[in-house]
Amino acid sequence: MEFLLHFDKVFTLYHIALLVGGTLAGLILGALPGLSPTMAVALMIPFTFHMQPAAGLILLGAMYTATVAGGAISAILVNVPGAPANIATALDGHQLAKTGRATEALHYCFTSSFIGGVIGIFVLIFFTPPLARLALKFGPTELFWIAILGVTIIGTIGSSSVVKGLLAGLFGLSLSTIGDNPMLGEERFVVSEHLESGVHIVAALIGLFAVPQVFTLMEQAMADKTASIYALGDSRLFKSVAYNLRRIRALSIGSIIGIIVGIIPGAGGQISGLVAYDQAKKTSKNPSAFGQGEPDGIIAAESANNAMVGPSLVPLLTLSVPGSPTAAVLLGGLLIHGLFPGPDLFTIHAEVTWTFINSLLVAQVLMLVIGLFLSQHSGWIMKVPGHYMAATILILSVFGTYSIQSSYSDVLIMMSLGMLMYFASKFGFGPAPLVLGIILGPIAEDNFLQGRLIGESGDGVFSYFTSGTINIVLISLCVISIVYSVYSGSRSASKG
Amino acid sequence: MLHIDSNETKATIFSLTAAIVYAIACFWDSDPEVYLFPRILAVIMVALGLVQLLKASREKAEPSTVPAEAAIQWKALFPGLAVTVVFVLSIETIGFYTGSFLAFLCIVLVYGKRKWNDRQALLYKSLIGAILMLVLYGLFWKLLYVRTPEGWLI
Repeated sequence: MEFLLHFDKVFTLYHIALLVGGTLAGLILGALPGLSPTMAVALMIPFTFHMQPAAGLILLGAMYTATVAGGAISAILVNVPGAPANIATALDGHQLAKTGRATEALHYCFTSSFIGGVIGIFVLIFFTPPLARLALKFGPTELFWIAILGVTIIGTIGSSSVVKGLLAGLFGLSLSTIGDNPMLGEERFVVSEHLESGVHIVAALIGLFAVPQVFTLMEQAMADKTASIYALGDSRLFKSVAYNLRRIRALSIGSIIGIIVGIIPGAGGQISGLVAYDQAKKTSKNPSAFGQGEPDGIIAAESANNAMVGPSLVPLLTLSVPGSPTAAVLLGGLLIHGLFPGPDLFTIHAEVTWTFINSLLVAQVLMLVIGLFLSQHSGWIMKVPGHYMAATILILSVFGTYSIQSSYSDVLIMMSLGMLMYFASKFGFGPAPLVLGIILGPIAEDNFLQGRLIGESGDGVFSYFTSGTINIVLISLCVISIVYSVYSGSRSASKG
Repeated sequence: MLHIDSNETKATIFSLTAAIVYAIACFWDSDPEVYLFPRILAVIMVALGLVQLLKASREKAEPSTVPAEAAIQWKALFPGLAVTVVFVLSIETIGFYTGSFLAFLCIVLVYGKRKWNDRQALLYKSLIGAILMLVLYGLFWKLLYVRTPEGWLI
């Protein structure tokens, strides 16, 4: 119950202001179609750079929580999910909106997001410390394999193609090798003065997640894709909340599936909503009502999406392996504040870590309150034109990147990576494995070189890297994740 | 057989070229000790690029059609891309806030529904851009003391 000892630190005026601001901004950004939670958190990281670590992480955590829930607003009102995680919500939510029950659907959405979210945070609170203690047994070889596992998992499970996912992860690792060699200090690949300091994590995060979105919004703005918004309708708040609380089966299915999917590294919230929706439909007494405006569909999908948030941080905070692409971006946020995942987070940095985790609980409450309020007034969010968003994101991207270390080189690197990512995304490459490669690259290389030195003075490098229970387990997990992805990819190809 | 119109082929050319360039940079006239880790990465990348090539060559005779959202809409993209490049290259010369205001105005004018010569729209969009810049300037320059490129103006 150590988390209770640090609960009071959340309730300072400054932290509460950050939580309210982060939640409100997250809900609005999440509701804007096309702006993913990952992009919103990536764009916010530079603004936390000048804050204390706890304050910065509180803001990022609130944004993460709220953007996931906020994506349901556009899914329900205009049938355009704010994020891929909200696809399942649109199936029944938009049907309810069509019949003038949009506010009621939004009430279900925020209430079930809150319940799923709180359960997920408790999983985070109770599962993280024991796993972090396990990480104490890790030496250079284990840390090397952990880094490789992170890239492998997010490259395979989180991508449409195993080969493309792994290639993207390797490109990320290769980008991390630009700059000084960590052991010898000699420069590598410095073909221009702008590359002397290598690729900064935040420049990469913003470039890879925000810039491609700017160009996509520009394309869509030219195509003039406007969606019609149905009337929000009237709904009694307490009646719909009480109805929601009685849907125990849908809430349980959503929460359990969200937790399981969240804790599996790399799987992410994108599939938790759809899996929960599918299970709720299969176990329902009236499956034919799903897709026609069945509240259980929204409840299962949204409780799963938010139940995933807490558990997706369990492998992140303990083993530096993120449970979702947004968690991968949060890893960047931890590292720029000098916090490295593992046991130190719960010993040396216990105050910061527990304040952050506790703030996620408070963020869930704020998400519920602000979300229910926004339910009545959310129509205006949908009216923000895409080209205004594109212009604003572009300016914030340049500003955010420059502000980290007042470096124009970072801006050029960010923009170059963003343009490359935009074109690469057209060929099926995703940004998440690339970012994780850049983040985990130095960890992999440092530990590889250290392990090589130790191995050479002992039984040999190969033997050192492949012996020991933890090493064997980690290597097996790398192999399993690749084999499973190849198998499921070939299965879906043969079906389709 | 490779189909040049196929998305898989384009992805293969894209990734294999990048992997080969990286491999050449790692192995060409470089210290093996300094470049040990990159060299290992390069070998795996080229191998995976070849797997991707094999995959693309096994595609069915009919090239896969590229979905509309996956195709690059050059006509729509080009003006925005040009504004972005000019904006990034000019901020050190003309200053961040001035450059941002001009970039904002160009994007909302190019991609907006109303015509360029509509004075009312121009005024409205300039006003929004100016308010956004004032908010950013006040918040970051004055409140948080975050410095941005100054150039001729600010």
